[in-house]
Amino acid sequence: MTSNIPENGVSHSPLGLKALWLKEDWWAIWIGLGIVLLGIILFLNGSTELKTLAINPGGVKWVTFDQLLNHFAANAGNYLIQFVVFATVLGITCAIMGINLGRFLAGFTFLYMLSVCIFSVGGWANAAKYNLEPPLVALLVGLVLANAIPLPKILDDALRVEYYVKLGIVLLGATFPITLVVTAGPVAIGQATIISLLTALTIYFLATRVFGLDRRLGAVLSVGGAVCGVSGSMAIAASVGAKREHIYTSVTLVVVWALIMIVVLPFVSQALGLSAGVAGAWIGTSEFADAAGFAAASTYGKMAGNEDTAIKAFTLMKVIGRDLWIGIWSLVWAFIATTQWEKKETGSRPGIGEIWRRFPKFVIGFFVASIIVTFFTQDFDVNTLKKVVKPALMDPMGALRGWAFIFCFLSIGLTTRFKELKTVSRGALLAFSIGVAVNVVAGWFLSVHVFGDYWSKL
Amino acid sequence: MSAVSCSGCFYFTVAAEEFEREVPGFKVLSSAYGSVRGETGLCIRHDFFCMPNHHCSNFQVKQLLQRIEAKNP
Repeated sequence: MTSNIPENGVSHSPLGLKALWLKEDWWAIWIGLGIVLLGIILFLNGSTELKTLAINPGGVKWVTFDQLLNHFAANAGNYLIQFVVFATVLGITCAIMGINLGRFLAGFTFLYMLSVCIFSVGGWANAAKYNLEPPLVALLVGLVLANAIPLPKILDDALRVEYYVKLGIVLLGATFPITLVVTAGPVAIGQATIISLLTALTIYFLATRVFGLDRRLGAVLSVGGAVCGVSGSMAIAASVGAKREHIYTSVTLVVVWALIMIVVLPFVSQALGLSAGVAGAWIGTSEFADAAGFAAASTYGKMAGNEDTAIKAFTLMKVIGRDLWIGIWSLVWAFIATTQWEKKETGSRPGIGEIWRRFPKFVIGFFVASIIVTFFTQDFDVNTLKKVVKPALMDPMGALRGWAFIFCFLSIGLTTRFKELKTVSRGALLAFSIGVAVNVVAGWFLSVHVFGDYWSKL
Repeated sequence: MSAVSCSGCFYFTVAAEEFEREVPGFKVLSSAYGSVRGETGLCIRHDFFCMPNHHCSNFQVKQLLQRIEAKNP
């Protein structure tokens, strides 16, 4: 029998077009581009509704608590509308993907309220003085709540770290000139290529030759450390026939190191006096997961007073440079496993289409958003852009991106339960940690000394 | 894809919600709903990851075992 749908009718046939509504990458694109187009239509009609939808207390700069309360009292209706719109759009899309709507709404209500509190802290006039940057505060508050208080599991369905960060990245495209992507892309891809190869080979060599670990674990850890954390590990898991415990090891090492670097990299960048562009590129070269990297880049950007540049450099380096390697590594490891390793370990060999199937599709949304807004704004003169277009269109989209990111950063903290992380072997810990050290040092060298001029002028 | 491939096997876990339940911690910095996972699933018999078109000698028809389990909970 060779039909796609077997007689028992229970085949999981390839998703095909169903991926367009069953994968969060595509929903991030639909929602992100929908917001971009809606924003342009509202702008052309002279409406300020997008600003209303993007309201947040982060810009209040309150000194007394009464000022903050007055802000909420004056804008209570807008916050209610915002919550209903966010909950409806995200809730329906998650329900279509198969997530329980009731549980999502319960969790999202909690997440939204907590996000308002985090933004309020960031909106305090003295927040920067005490390094109370919203990404860092969100992460720490989430971690404390998840590990100190037994939060009900019902909240978990709304803690979709990846969905929120992908949506934020598509919206980021709207404030990212496509010309910058075209000019900076080759440098980012070049730097990412060096890092990806160096780190992956280091971890794999140490894991298999020095510490004698299973080669499947070595492969899984090498891609996790070099490209995209747990997602990178999962991308090649089937190609090499990785065991469940291999992914557990990757989860533990990636989560612990990613959290350490979210906190450490911004402060080390500050101590080294790095510009926002250089630090963003360094963080993009060193962090594994997009979500964790955005938290670090955003934190340093706020510390340096230039969040936009830090995030742009990070995006170029991580999202455009390193994430492109996911599908390539998947194919390479599948080829190695099926031609060099024992066939019984690995199953069948995937084709070149694997690169597309594993491609993080939300990146397409980033590019399309960037192209749409770049072309829409190209005929405005500088003065109009600055005084009219930016406040009415770009700033609200930036604020909506801020909401998506704060949901993401809080979700990282709230889903990280240290007691659920599995213990890892000494060899895996050392192989991965040395790989991280090589990655961080090489990333610093490339970002500061090789391409430093370039990143600092971004 | 054959009817006796992992796609039709009782031991193959591919649905996103179930997958995240089977691999605790996976969703902290990743997602079973993302494109990168593709259709990678977990074989709960061999405890390793595979694709719907993979196969092995331990194939068990999904519906048959579900019926047996329902009768003998």
